[in-house]
Amino acid sequence: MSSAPDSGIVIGVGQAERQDDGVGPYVARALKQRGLPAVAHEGEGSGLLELWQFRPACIVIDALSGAGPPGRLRVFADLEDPAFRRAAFVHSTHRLGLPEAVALGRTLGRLPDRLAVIGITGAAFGFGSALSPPVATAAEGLIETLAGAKDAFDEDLLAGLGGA
Amino acid sequence: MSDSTRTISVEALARVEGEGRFKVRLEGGKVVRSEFSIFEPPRYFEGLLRGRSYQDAPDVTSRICGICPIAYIMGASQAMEDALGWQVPRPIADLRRLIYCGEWIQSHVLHTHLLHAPDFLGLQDSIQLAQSNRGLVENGLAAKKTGNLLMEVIGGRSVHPVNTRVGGFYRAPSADDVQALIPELERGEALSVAALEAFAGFDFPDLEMDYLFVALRHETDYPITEGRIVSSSGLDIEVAAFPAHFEEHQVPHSNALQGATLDGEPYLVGPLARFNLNADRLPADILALAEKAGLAPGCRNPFKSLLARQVEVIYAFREAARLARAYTPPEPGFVEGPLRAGTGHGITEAPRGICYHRYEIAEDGAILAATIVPPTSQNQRQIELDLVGTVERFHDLDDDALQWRCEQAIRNYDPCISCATHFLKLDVERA
Repeated sequence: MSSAPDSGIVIGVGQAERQDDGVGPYVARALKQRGLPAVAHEGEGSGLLELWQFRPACIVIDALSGAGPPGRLRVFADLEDPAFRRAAFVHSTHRLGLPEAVALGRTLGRLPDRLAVIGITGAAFGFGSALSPPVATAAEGLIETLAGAKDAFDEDLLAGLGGA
Repeated sequence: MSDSTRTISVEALARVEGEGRFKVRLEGGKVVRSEFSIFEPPRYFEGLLRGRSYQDAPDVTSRICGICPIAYIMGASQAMEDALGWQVPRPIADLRRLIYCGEWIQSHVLHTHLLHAPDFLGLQDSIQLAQSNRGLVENGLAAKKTGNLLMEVIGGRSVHPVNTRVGGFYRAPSADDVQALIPELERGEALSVAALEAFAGFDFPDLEMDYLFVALRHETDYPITEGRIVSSSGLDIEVAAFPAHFEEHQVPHSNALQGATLDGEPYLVGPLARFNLNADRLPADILALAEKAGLAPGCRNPFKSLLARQVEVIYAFREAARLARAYTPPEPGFVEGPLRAGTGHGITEAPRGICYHRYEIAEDGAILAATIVPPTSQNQRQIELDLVGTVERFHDLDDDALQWRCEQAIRNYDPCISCATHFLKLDVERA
C-alpha cells in the first residue's frame, strides 16, 4: 500500500514488459516520484479491490487496444456505462479483470466514493519495456496534468482529459 | 431426447486466454463425433528461449501464465540446476515450497470461489454469487488476499514475482516478515475449512470416469515442488524419465499439442490426481475433513475436483504456517556454481497439475533447446473424454441444462479457457 487509506490513489495497471501495456505502471511510477499516492499493479481483480476499497477517490490508468488512434485518452467516470465494458482493456481473462473487479466491488460495497478509469490507446503490445512514441507523449502529458493539478482526482479535471 | 441428433458446439471464445472450441455430435444418446480444439496461435516460448542465457528461463517462462508463474519459475529453475549440477540447500527448497503454497492458495481460491462455485448454484458468475452468497465471496477474497501477501513477502510482488532466480532467491525475506504472516495463514486455514463445508453442500453431478491419474509423489510430504512421477497404474519414475513415458502429439483440429502416454493413453493431472495418489500424505485431520465433505481416496467424479482443490487450499495454509514458523533466512538466498554444458529436467505440481521443463544448455549457459509441457496440454485429451462422458451421461437434459453441464465439466479442470464464463453455444439438430 503506497499511501494512507484515507487518501485517493492512482493505480497504473498493466505489464511493464509488454510495451504499451506498461503505460499504466509507467504513469503511476512517475506520479509517485512527483509525490502523488500512486502504485503500479498487474491488474488482478481481487488485488484492485484491496487497493481501492474504503478510499475517497481512485483513478485507474490502463492500456486500451483498438480504441482509436494510439495515444488517445478516454476517461470513464460512469463505470456502469456499457461503453466501459466494451472498451477492450488489455487484461487477462484467466482471472478477474478490471471490469469484473468494478462489478464485484459495486456488489460488495468495495468501490471508492469516486472511481474513474483512464484508458490510453496503445499501438504495440509485444515484448519490451519501451512505450511507442504516441503513447509516450500521451503518458507524459497525463503525468504533467495530474502532477500539476491542485486536486488530481477532481472530476472536472478528469472530464477535461477525454470523454468516453 | 435419446432418439434425436444434437450437435453441441463451443464456438470461438471471446475474452479467453487460449482460444478454444468444443464440438460434439450426439445420436440416440451416444456421441458419434467430438473435437476439443485450441486454435490460439502458438506463442513460441520454447523458440524464444533458444540462444538466451540459462538465467532468463524462469522469468521468460513465468510469462506463460499470470495465474501460476511460480510453477514455471520453479520448474525452469530446477531444470537449470539439474543441468548445471547445482544442489539447492534445504532452507532454500523450503522457501520455494512456502511461496508455492501462496500460488496454490491464489489460484485455487480464485477458481473454487469465484469461477467454479457459481456453476453449482445455477449462477452466471461471481457477481451474482456475491449478490446471493456474499459470505462465500468475502471468504474467498480474504483467503486469496493472504495468498497474495505470501507471494509479495517472498517474491516481491503478488503476480510475476521478481525475487526468484536459478539457485534460489535474490534476497531471502527476513524472519520477522515471514513470521508476521502466521496469524493470517492460520485464519486462512479456518476460512478454508468453512468454505469446504459450504462446498460439501453442493449438488455434484453423478458421473464417474475411468482415469489414469499422474502426479508427483514425495517420500513424506504432499507433493508441491519435489517428488517422483507416479501413476494409478503403478508407474514410479524419476523426473528425468518423463519424456520416456509421456509425449505430446499434434491433432489436426487443434493448435495445442495433446499429451498422452507413449502407448497413446490419455491421463489426468491436477488436484484430483494429486489427492488420489497422495491422500496418505495429507495430515489425518485434513483427510478426515475431505472425507466428511464427500471426497474419499479413489474418487473418480470430475466434478468433485472442486473439493480436491479446496482440500489443497486447507493444506497449503497449514503447510505455509508450518514452514513460516520454522523459517530462518538462508544466507545467501541462492546457490550458484560453475557453468557447464548439460541437459536438465524439472517438474513441480502447478495448481493444475505437473508441469515439465527440459533444457539443453551450452558451456557458456546459453539455451540450446527447451521443452515445456504444461498441465492443460496434458489434460486436453482427457477434457474431451470428460465432455463426451458428460454428454452421454446427461443427454436427457434439455439443451440449456446440457450446455450448462458441459461448461461446468470444462471448468472442472480450471484450464486457461475456464475464465470465459458461460461460453457454450448449443446447436441442436433433431432427426
